[in-house]
Amino acid sequence: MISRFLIVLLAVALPAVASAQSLNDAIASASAKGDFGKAIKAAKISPKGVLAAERLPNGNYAIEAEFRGEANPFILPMTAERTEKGWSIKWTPDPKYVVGMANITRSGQLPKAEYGLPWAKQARLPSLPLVVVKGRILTPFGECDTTDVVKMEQGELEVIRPLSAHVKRWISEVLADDPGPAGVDVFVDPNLTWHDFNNVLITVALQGLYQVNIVTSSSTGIKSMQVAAPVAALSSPQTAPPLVVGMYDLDEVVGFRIGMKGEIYKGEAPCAVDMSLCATSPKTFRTMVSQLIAEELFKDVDKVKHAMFAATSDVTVGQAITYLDQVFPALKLTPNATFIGYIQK
Amino acid sequence: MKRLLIAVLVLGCLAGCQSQTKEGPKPTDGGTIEAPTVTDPMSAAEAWCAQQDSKPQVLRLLKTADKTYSAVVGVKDDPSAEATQLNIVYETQWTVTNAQPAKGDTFWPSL
Repeated sequence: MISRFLIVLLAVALPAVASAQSLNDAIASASAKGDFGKAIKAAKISPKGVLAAERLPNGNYAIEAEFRGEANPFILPMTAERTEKGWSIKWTPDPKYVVGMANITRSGQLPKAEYGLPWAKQARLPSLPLVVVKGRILTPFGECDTTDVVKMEQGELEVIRPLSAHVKRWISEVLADDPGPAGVDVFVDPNLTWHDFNNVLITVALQGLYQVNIVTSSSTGIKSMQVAAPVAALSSPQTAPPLVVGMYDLDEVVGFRIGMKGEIYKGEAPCAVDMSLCATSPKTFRTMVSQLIAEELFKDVDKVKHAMFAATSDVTVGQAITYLDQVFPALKLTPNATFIGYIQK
Repeated sequence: MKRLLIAVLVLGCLAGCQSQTKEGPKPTDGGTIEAPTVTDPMSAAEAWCAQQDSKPQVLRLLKTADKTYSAVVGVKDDPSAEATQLNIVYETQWTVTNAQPAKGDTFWPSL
């Protein structure tokens, strides 16, 4: 009788004795359970701790958790709830996404670039991650059909309807309509065409996610190149017009039109009609842009606060990003002041 | 039996009451604020909030460097409540080392 009574009393007293579960403990616990735990194991990653947390209108938190990998750290989004008993994880990404993200990162099949911060060292709010390869898009909600598209009223770009639905779920279910986070991480196959890549960007941007972090492969590991989707330009508080850098894939060289307010800058030896310069490699491009600046052909370059980097449809993402990588240091621009654009034929 | 019962109740109360009456972070002469032993940066921010009269909540937490986090605490959707920015550093434990009024434009990158 006494012992049974004691057990009841101890059970009542225990919650006060046990300390509340910390957020990092909750992340570790969720990463070891169920199908998500199996995916974490299959991806050969292990939880390290919280990277970012944002309190949502419904009282829960959108969080980004850092995971250790063999060579690079990984980031996964989650939602967490804080109660008097401590932290618990409410939502984790689809296992298919976890494995897909780990595979594309390990394969090295990412655009090559040196500019930017290491992916897990970029201080930012939780972002929607996407794995984009030809014919397939993986989101934390699973896979999207890329053939279900709606042509935009003007132009050549198309909205990918299933991706649009996934973005809406991210905003309503994960972010609880919090207006703060507006970022998207894109793991993109460098062989994807600029047209297909811009279809992805326009689809997410139309839902309000305009801060684009292109995950790249650099000589020092995985990095994040932060740029902006073109729709952000419409609501940008910047008053000065952007410098426009247009990239054209010509036969043996890459042509660039560089201009501002409709005026195209002309280099001394343009390679083709209406081109500012032609480059045979990203390195020569940077040298030529620096020369143009030194020759004061860019009279307004000091006033440039933001730029748009655009390319034609047949340029691959890998090609474009290696040149975009040179635009930031050449023009002394911060990456998030550069918008991505698309040149229609 | 009565003695045992009292002992168990006292034990339970000690554990429960300790967390209620534990001394919280106090500014030192240099303005440094010491938090109780905590295992992660979120717990450090929460411990700091628990010691404030206004009982703010953690609104945002961001890793800004190795072993360093920034947090914004305040009362969400209350414009009259001033948000505070905390600097949280890991030394031998996660500790709030500085608290100052939040400056949105410096803490949050804007386009």
